[in-house]
Amino acid sequence: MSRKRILIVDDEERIREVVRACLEDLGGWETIVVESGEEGLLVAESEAIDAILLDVSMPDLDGFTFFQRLQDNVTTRTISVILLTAKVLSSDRDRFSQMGVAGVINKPFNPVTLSEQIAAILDWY
Amino acid sequence: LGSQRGLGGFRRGATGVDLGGKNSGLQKLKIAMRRTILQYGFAILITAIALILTQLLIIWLQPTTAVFFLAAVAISTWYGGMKPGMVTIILSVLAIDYFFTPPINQFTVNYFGDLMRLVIFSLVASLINLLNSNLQYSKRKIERLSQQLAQENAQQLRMVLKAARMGIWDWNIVTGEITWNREHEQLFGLASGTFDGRYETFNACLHPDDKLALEKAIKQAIAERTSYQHEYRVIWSDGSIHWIEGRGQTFYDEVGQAVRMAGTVMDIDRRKQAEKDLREREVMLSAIADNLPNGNIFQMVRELDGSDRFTYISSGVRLYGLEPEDLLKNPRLIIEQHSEGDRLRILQAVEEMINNLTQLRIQVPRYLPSGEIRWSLLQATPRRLEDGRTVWDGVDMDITDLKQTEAQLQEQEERWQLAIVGNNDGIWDRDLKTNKHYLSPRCREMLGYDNTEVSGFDDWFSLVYPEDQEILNKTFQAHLNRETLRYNCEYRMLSKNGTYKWLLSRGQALWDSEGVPVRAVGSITDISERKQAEMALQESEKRLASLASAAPVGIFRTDVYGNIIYVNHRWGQISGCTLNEAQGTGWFWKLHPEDRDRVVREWYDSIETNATFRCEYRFVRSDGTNTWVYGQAVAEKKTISGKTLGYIGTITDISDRKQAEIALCSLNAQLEQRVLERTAELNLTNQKLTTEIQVRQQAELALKQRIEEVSDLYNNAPCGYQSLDSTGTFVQINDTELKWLGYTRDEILYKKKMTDLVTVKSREVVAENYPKLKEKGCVNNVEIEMVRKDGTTFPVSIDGIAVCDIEGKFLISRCIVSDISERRAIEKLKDEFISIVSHELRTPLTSIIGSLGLLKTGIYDNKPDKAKRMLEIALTDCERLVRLVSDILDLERLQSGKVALVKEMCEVTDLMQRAVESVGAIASQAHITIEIAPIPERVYAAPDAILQALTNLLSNAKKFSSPHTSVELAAKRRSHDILFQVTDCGRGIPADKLETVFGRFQQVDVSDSRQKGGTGLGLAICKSIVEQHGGKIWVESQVGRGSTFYFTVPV
Repeated sequence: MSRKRILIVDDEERIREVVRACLEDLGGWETIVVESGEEGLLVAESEAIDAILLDVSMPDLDGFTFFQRLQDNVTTRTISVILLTAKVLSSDRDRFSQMGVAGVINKPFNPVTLSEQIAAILDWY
Repeated sequence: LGSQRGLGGFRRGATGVDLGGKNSGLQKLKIAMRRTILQYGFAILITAIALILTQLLIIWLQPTTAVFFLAAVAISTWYGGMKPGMVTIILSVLAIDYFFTPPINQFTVNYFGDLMRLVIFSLVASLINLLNSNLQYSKRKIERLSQQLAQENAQQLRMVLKAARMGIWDWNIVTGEITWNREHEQLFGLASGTFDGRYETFNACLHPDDKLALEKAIKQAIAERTSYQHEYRVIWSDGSIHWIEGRGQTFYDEVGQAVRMAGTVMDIDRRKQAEKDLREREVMLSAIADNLPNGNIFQMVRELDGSDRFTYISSGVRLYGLEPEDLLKNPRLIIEQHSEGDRLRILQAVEEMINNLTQLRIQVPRYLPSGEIRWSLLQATPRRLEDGRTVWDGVDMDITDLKQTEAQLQEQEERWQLAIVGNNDGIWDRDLKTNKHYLSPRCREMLGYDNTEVSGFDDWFSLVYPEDQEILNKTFQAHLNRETLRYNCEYRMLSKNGTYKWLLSRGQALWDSEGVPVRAVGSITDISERKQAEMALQESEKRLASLASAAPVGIFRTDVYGNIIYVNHRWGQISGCTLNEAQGTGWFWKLHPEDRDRVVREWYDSIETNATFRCEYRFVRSDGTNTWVYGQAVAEKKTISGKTLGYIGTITDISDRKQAEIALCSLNAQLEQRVLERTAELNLTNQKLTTEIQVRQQAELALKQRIEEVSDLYNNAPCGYQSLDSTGTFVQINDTELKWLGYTRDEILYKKKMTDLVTVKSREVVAENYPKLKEKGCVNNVEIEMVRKDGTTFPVSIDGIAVCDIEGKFLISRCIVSDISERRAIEKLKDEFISIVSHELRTPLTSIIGSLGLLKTGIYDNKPDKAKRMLEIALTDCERLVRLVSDILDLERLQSGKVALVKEMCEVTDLMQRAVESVGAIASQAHITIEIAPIPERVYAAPDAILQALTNLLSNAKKFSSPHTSVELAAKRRSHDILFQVTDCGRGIPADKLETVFGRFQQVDVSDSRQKGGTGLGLAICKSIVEQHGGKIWVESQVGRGSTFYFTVPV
């Protein structure tokens, strides 16, 4: 099995850094890191990636719109999306469950088990 | 004169021809011989004369002696031709030789010169002879030719005249003699050669009516010197009349006197007949054309230049107010009466007709100047003339009447259809020979069938109620046998929904000349309702009869005059008389004598006033006892006309009551006595009561006031009050709640249930909680959404208790309704705030926990750079977290108002300088200068708070400014306050965010807090501070140019 390639979309610079470190240094995966939704959509379309770790609150394009545009595009429709979000209220959870994403991981997350959590959601064993 | 000679020549020629026809060839020869002898004799004679003359005149002739001989040759040749001329030459040569050539009188010639002279003479003479004879020959030939030509001409002319049956006449006016040729005689019906040349004979042949006119024509031609031409009739000897045309020319003498007249006559019978026929035909045609009813005939021609004109149009066109003469001049007049569109249509049709040579047929309306509209049917047939023009003969028929009839017919048909549809009847039409059965759609519709069902009569018949089939057949047959005038039958039919409907079928048959029915037509009416009514009536009549006989009151009926015609059993019992006794006026005599007048009077009164007769009276029974009755009667009227048929009434036995009344009377008397006694007692009591009433009235007034107070409390309470009965229907509601709902009290009380005034979702809540209230006696904080009359909703909280009767049975509820819109709004705000704060707190915590967690694993133990970076991340976000928490606390403290601001007089300049100092260091790091414009003013404020506001604004300004720009802090004294302003040259704020930036976590850009290190609370804090001071804060901005934040602090 080749190395997994994860696209990280988050507007918080330091969170990006931490997530990247978790996945590369602990998970041993490859990552592509972008800081905006539009950029993320371009990468998702042009690069071969296995999953997207997506922040919900972003200035240019929120997670919902990002996911919808991903679904509308035939080439990106099949990519698994996991939300990585600080929105943890029950009303937020209800919205996420209706989206059809592969899974939701709350912020703050456990850096040591982040990659395992992702693998569990996506059945990567 | 030339003409005269010509005519004379003709006559001569004519005779010559005649002679030539008679002479023989021998005679011709004789003449020729005589003529030859004469010619030769003349030749010898002329030579002799020349000799004599030369002899006599020789003296004057020397030396030209031959002159006369030459002349002799010439003359001889002219007269006799060449040969006699030659004789003259020979004789002349001999004579000259003998007489004038030396030796004289000898034929010998001595000198060559003389011989030559003779030879020359001979040559010259021969030449003259030759020329002259040629000339003579030519002349003869010409004469002969012209004679021949004249003969031929005369012959041709004769033939022509004969063929043309043209007569010639010549009238010598001087002598009166008239010459006619043979044809002329024939034309006048005379035998050939019988005309005697007299004018009288000619005149006798003329038709008496034409004599004068002919004479006049001749005289006129002579007088005016014109050629004469006249047509006249002649009467032949057999009495037949013939038309002649005479033509002629008059000749005059030198003095202008008419001397002669000549000319021709011609038979013009046929032409006259043809002319007559033509005239008659024209008269006939124009009579037809002009008398054509409602139309006109015309002929038009399309000229080569494309123009159209009438060659004929009959006077029928006057119908349109047009004159045929005008139309012949201007054909456009006829088309101008049509509308623009029709004109085009006609012209197109005409073009088509001309191009294809097809018939024209078109119907068009015409708008007459009188305002009338007339319809024309234009028909024409074209034909092409040889010269390329096109002619069409046409008829223009006025078909207005036809159109009107058509329209009337259509209208009638429509009216008939409407009538059928309007009376809702179905129509049937049955051909009795073919058994073809037509049913109008309404027939089927009445029974609920569609048009594809029930096609023939058999189908129809099979649906008739079995018991009615025979009646229908019988009735129909009876009509066909002419036993009834009309077919009229009521029967039941099975309708589509399985029920039977009553139908009334009416119709009329048609019989042929032999009396055999051929066809029947009629209508079908749905009379189910009428039948039902009828049956109901029958039923009710039946019921009524049984009711009457069994009724506990006496019932009677009378006719208009009061004669009883019916009484029921009970009437007999009460009155004590039988029907027989009561019949007619019998009943009257059974009345108590004292009551009779009264009863009659009352009876008539009630008839007059049209009122119900009501009267109490007595019957006297046969045993002498009286029965008191209460009698009532009303007029029985015909339903439609209102005419009174009789009266119907009842009697009730009131004997018992009457006895009681009598008893009552005696009791009354006793009572009156007692009353008097009691009255005295009462008067005393009355006085006591009056005092008591006054006390009560005061109490009532107090009560009224109390009620008003309670009502005010109830209706104008700041919350809603309502009471529902056990079904949940409103029985009480206060004004406050009504105002909220927008209904009036009448719209709600006893009409609406609680469930009617709440949202669908809340109905469940109500349905769940109301039984609970009834059972437990109270409910609290039931939160539901109520619906206003306008459809909008608002949330309420309801607390209710149950009101029960003594036995504990639920009567009504009493509820307090609280509008919790505001509470809800606050809760929503709170939720949003928590959501944001939660997010804002979790974000830095994510980096902190993440970076520290990674460090703890030890993977960066050998990578100090990475480890350091992780620590930096953790630290940065820790600071951010601290800022956030302290901002939230500041804001909470300010907004709760728990911390009173400690105000003191402060120097504005001092505040401004301190604010700049606190941000100065960071600003200069970012290469931003802060300019300050201090003013010497003082302000009464909490210095720390104002300082915090200024610092926040300056630090914001710094954050959004590009390097190497400046931020300006200024203050201004105004009438009541100090105005602070902080201006930057940053990116500006969009217009729609100018208000919201002062809200919590309301950065223009969500990511601003991360990038610029803000918490999103700075401006909210400023706003709180300024508002605590009683000032105002706002911002003015231009996107891309910068913003200025203002706030005021009252002096």
